[in-house]
Amino acid sequence: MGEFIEAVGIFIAFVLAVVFALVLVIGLTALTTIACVVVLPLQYFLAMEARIDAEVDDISELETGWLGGITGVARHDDQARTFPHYFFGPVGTDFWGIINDAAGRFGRAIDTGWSVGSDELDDGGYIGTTVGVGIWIGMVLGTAGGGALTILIGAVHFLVSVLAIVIATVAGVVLRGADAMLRYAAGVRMTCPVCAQTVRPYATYKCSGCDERHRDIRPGRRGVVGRVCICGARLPTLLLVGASRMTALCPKCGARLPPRFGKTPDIVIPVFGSVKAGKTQLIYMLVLALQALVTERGGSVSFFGDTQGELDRIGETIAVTGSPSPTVAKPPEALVLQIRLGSHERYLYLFDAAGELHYRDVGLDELRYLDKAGTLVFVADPLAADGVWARLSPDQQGDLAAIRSERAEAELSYELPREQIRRMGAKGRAIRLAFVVTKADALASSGIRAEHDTVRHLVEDAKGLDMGNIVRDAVGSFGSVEFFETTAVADESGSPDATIERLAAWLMRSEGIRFEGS
Amino acid sequence: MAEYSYRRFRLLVLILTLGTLLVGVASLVYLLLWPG
Repeated sequence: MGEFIEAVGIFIAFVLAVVFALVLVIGLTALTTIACVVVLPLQYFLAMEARIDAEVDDISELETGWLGGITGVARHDDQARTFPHYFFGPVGTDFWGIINDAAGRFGRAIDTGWSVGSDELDDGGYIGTTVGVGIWIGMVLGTAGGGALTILIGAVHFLVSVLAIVIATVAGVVLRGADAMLRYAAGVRMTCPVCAQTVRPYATYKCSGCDERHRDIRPGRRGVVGRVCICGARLPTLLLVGASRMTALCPKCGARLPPRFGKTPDIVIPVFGSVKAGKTQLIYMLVLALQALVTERGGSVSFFGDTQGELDRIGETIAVTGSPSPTVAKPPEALVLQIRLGSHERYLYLFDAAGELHYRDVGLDELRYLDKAGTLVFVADPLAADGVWARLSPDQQGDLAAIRSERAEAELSYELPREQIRRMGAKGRAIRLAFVVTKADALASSGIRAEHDTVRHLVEDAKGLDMGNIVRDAVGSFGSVEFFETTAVADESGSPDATIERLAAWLMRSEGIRFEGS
Repeated sequence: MAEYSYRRFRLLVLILTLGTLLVGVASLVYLLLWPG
């Protein structure tokens, strides 16, 4: 009986031990599995987190990675002076770096789990063996589950990266398009006032931090909304997002461009005509007239670069000798006026080339601004016409001989630039021409002007300027032709003549700025 | 060369990855608990 009871006791103890062991194994398996399923995928995020503040040691490594090779991030004008955009190279390097780091962490976590299980098994005995088996089974199940989840996270990370690359590419294209469209709508032509070439594709911008010159800041592989200079300074990529606040340079000639270049519409007005036609004096008075017209209406006119100095030099020469010094025969820099009037803001580029350049093929090639203009000013010297000259008194002829143009040059100075404009591909019908007869005071005193109803009649008439053939060509070649007579002298108060104000108002009106009452 | 890390972009990718996973898991749970 006693033996039976003892056997039953042993059996019950055995059953209890087995049940306890099973509960322990199942419990530890479950706990280990859960721990693995949580801890192993966590390694991926820890790897991502560890990389967040990793500094760039070697840009070329980022550019020559698998993604950098596909996007060609290194093939850029500013490769040496900017960090590549994250989504066009570094994101790929980071992806593989995170995979490798996560794999290492994953392996170490598994090793730790296995070694804990192994230690328990090595301890032996009932508890150690049970715990070790539970941990091992849990490790097998947890590694499978955690591994699957980690692969899922890696796949999501990859898809997020690919999506970001696509969005960054599309955003770059959209931003470039929007920038170009807004510039077109605002009438921004981006002409360099020094070399007169179109600033294309974009101005060169100086880094605000290190003066490094960025040749192509537009959205792309080196930055979408902003880019990072090699010095660490952040720069905007577009005029739309603040590039106009930086110092802009012409990519062709390196000249400094006016503030807010590309944001403020530019008006290019070339003034052409023969030597001694009175172009420089006309431009000088035109600037005075514009200043008067704008400031009287609450606006302001400011000058860029050497414009103020050049105007002062012209003004001083006129005050001393009565006429400006002959313009040097070289490609002209524009006089740049910034006009602010109400909601209007414009840059006005007045190009004044030496007369000789208008009838020399080599000189004409240098007048690159001719096809950039919406409005041209042709200056005709009435004294060049023999009919007009013959009507002047000997005293007048003596006084005016020094400022009289050659007749042949006067015609060539219209015909050759007009031909050059055609050669340059500009659409003449889209251009307005101001046909300006200067020295109107001499015409009035000789009585010739009174014999003609209109300025056009004066220009066409054989007894006047005898330029009927030029007028016919101009009317057929340009969108509109307006005739002006001007007296490019100031009155005692220094105000320009009313004839100049009329011309100034017409020029501004033809470029979209209206002066009330003018 | 200045010291520079792509901190903001890396954080963005981390947040987007985590967010996508959370939204995916939440959607899965929703579909499992309230099928149809």
